[in-house]
Amino acid sequence: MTTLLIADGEPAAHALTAALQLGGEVHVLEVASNALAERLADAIAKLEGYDAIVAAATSTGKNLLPRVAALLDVMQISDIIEVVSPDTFKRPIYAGNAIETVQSTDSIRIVTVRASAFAATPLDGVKRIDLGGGNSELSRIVSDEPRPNDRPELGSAGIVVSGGRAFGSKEQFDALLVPLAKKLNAAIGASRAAVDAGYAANDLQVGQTGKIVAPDLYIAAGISGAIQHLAGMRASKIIVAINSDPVAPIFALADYGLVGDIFTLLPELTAAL
Amino acid sequence: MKILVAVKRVVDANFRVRVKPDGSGVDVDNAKMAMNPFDEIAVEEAIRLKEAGAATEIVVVSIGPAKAEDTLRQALAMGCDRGILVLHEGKTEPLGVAKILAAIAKTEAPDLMILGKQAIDDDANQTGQMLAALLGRGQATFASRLTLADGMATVTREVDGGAQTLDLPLPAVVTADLRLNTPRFVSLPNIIKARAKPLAKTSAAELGVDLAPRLRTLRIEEPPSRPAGIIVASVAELVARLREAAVLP
Amino acid sequence: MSVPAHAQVVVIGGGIVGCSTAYHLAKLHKANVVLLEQGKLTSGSTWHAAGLVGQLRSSASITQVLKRSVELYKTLEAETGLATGWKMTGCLRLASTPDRWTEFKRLATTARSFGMDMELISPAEVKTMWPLLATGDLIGASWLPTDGQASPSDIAQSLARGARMHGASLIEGVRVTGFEMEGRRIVRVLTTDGPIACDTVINCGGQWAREIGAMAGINVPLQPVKHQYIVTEKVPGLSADAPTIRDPDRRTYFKEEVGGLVMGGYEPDPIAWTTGDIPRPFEFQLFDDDWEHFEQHLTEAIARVPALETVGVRQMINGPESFTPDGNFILGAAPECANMYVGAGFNAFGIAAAGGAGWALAEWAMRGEAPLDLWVVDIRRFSSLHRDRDWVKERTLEAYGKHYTVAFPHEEYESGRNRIVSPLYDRLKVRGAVFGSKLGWERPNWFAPPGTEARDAYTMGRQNWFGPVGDEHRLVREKVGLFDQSSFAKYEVSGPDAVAALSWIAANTVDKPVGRLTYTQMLNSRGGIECDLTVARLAEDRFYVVTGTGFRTHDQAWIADHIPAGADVTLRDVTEDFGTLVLMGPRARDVLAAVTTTDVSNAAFPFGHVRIVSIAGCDLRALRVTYVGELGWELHIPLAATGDVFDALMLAGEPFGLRPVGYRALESLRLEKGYRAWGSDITPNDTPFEAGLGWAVKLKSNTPFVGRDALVALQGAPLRKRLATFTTEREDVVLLGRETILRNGEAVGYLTSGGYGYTIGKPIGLGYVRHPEPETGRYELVVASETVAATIGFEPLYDPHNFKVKA
Repeated sequence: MTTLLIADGEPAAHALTAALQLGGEVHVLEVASNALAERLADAIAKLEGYDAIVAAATSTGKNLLPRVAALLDVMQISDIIEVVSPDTFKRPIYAGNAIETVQSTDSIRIVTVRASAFAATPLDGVKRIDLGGGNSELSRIVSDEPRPNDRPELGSAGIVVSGGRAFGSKEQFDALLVPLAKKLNAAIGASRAAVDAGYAANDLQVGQTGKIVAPDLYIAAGISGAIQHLAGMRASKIIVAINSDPVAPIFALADYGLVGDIFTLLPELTAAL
Repeated sequence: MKILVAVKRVVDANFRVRVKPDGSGVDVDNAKMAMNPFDEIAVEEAIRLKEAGAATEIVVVSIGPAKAEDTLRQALAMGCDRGILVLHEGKTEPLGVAKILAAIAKTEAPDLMILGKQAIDDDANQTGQMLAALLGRGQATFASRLTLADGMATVTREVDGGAQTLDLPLPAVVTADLRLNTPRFVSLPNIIKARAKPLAKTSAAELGVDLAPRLRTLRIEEPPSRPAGIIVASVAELVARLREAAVLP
Repeated sequence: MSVPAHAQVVVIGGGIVGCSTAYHLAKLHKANVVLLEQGKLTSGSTWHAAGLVGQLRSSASITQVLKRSVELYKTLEAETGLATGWKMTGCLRLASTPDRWTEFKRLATTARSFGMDMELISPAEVKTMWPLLATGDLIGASWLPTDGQASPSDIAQSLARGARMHGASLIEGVRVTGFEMEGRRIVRVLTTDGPIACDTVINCGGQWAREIGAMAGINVPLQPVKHQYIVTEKVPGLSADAPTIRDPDRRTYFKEEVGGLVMGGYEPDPIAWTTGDIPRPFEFQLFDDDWEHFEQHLTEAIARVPALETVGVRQMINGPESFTPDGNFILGAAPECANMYVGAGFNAFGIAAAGGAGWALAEWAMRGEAPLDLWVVDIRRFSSLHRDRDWVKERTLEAYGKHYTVAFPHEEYESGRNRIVSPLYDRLKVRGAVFGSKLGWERPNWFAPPGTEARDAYTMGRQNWFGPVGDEHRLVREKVGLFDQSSFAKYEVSGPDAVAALSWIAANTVDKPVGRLTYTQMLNSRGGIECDLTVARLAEDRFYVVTGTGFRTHDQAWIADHIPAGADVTLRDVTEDFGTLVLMGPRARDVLAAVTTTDVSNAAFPFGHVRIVSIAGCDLRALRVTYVGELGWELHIPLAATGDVFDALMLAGEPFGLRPVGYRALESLRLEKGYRAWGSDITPNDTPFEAGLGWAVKLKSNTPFVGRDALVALQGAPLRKRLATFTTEREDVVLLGRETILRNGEAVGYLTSGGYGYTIGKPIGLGYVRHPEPETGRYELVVASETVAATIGFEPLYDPHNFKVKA
């Protein structure tokens, strides 16, 4: 039993833990972050003697491994969070609302690993192999650009601060939320009621009829939590609710609730950050 | 210039799936179904290319049960020209789907294939890459920008740590990420017109593809439940808690 | 939060209706209320409701209820701090056909009768108010400025907070799993969180109300139907305060939402959801978009709002809504159970209704009596027929499909027909009977003369049956006619305490010698009329009670509920034991005498008596009573013999011109005679004094009875209103009811019944006049928005001194 680990940076240390759980020896193939898949995949597919190919579910791994799998006529197992046995794994499906245990029937296992689900193991001392890579006649890197630093977009922002009808006017909506959003490098969202009242633009509406968001941190200020709104943000990792009504439905979903007046609490929060 | 897009009928993003108590699967019997959101972005991109004069025909494919026709009709209402429904009851896996699409690509000979980066049911994120491999063509996954010129696709990809721009000679496979575009809402007349657009039906057998699953699902269970929230007493406590949870920048 | 062990009232369901009921119970009745919601508040149907709030209904009481909703939604935020999203945008109803326009003229008159200002406006005015509408095909529109729209979830949350402020506890995530019963009474509500002992249960379970009711043995005949609407992107040029639009000729409605339009419709071919239990969980779920089915609405909507050509559809909502077989909601005390009340089946006007319905339900449950006439929504309007879920489904789908069709007067449902037929059905059919249906019974409305088509042809004016019904009317007035009224509801009340119990429940004296009949009302504690029926004393300890077909469940429940505790009385429904033939007309005695040896002379068998009579070898019960104002008898015949008796009568009646006649002639005959119909002319809102029925109340005796105290208090005081008869000078006017009564140009009431009297040759209406001097003044009626001169009267128009009846 020998496993090939594709390593493209820090997450590979976590993937190594998973690879070791498969049993047997692990060889490491280091690749550049976001290395192109076409030539690499061909080369990896031609390697002999590997029972499993593992990579962290980074953009590199997610791009590369399915290509390898198809070349080997293997069905990949994506984003595992647990190794049950060398051919059986747990992985989240339906945006994490269910956990699936799957067993591979292929002779080779091709697996991507959710790094946060495994501890890191140093790659020191693991056997390394080298393969060519880079541009090919199929694709060529024009540029690698750092993440643009403009304001985050609502649908993909890591932090979202949202306001509801309680703000009372567009002026107050902007005056209270914009400074907080800037401090947090957050996108601004709004409840349907706030959009309806003209406090925020239509495309900022979070909810069933607006944007569905799932940031790491969602701060709902002055939003009571109509079910349509909850549908748009319930998958957020951490939810903070700030509302004067202690029985507002939003508190039922919130990880942290703060009961009180948004007009005093929001400036206080902005100042505290 | 022909574009092939693939769409999957999935449980609506708003639907809260529940795991069956016996662990045999998720209960989606009464679920509202919809087009996979990333596939909607793929369809939108194809239509924009056509509207910009860069493409002349868009063929949309779906693999699934008869009701998947609704999903194809939606794509046709958005602006695709013609649909192909590969009828298949039961589970599909990315590898099988990629083989179907490759078989269709061999007869349709598209210049560009756009797929969603992943389906929101199985969250696999594989089909586009597999299709490119099977066809021996270049791939640009997680696209946030796509332009076509002189037989070349230039694609900006959303990758860890930033963006990457590639040139790919056509034909090539592109998978759509969230920021590629905002899909249009379909207008009422187009919903009506879509009902008359051509839609061919075929099957995996006719295409010579074996869709037998390679993965065996042993069990499906609930994720660990979300911990009950707490009411904090002050802004200071809130900030402290958020720092503890490491969600503040 | 776990459930308490005890509560005074348990409300099941945290949708807008349950929240409103809990709010009113806690606020107005200081009740100890627990509301249980299996999912989250607003889950079920409230959360996906479109939020149009209309107020005008064809019943004055229900219109009152809806007005109360609007008043509440306007003021609730001030009380609870949570807004309801109420916007008084007004409502435009568009007419593009002449029949629709006539309907609107009548609707505007109804609105005026009910105290609302509905204007009829021109297409040009419509265009000014709503520039995006294509108005080329319009004849006009009705404009009701006080209607509007609101945010369903916000109202429910606001009501929930209000309920909590007044001490109610609202518990989410708890499902009712059953009831612990003692006889007909619920003693404990069983839940997923443990049992709750309680006095009263209110079932506001929406589409789940059906299965919740079934667990207590009660029937809630509603049917979830898939109702679809779309929400569009921003429509350029659409004003945020644009009126809501109802475009019934195109079967669609519109409402502004976040700059876009909500558009939905009522298709003729609706799709029912399950007739079984609702799959669990289904609290916040929708169905797949069904564009194929919705396409019919798209085409119509684009034609009406051409701007929809270019805007996109943001979302389709395809959700289950509870509809009912007659398009009205279901409220009140379930007849099968001593302490379960129901508020469900709101036919997609639950948001408009909830505020007022919750108030009414709270009053009803706490006082044991409806606070006003709620007959059209009363759960006791149904019968065992409605336990058949397939029947309910078929009829409900038809009612849904007719939501936006022109409502022609006297229109009959076509689905679920021939459900219950009298033994005479085939005999009547060959004689040209055109049937209508009432509570499942097929009943002859009229008889088509040979050579004419035996079918209703509905129109807004005089219909194809006008002539034939006139002939039937004259036959009864001049010769003799035979009505098949086998569908009459019939009960036997017996036992040692029967006379005492009926004396307590009935306003008139029923303690008469054996063989006598009593026409009596049964009153509520306000002195309002709850039942109107005939009581025949068959023996010292046995009574036979006859009432209208539709009132079968209601009247039986009223009697059962008011039998004093501990009384030794048996109440038995014997409706299906007897066929009923009603022989009426000046030659009735001649016909009867020809088929029986019993002495039927006036001396031997006077008016107001019941006798056993033998016809065709069958002993049957003959009641000398009338609802048409002629000499005649109601013959209550053991069911199996009904056909033989009919044949004998028809044969013997031939020389006298006897023919069967139908219910439409009955209506014309009773109007001429000024006989009141319960549910329209006399209702729980009306006292016998106001109805001119003071003579049928035993106030002079010292016998206590239900409602007596209220009548004593009213006695001698000026009447608030008085029932009168109206005729119009113009003979071509079509009166249907709800026409406004003008006295010296001022609205003083409206017609409760309308029709045509063939003997007097004039349109006739009955209606209450709210004026201290009703006898004086110049009267007019507003008929379909047109004012016509009228004459008021307080005596029957025909045979005021009952010479005919007592002949």
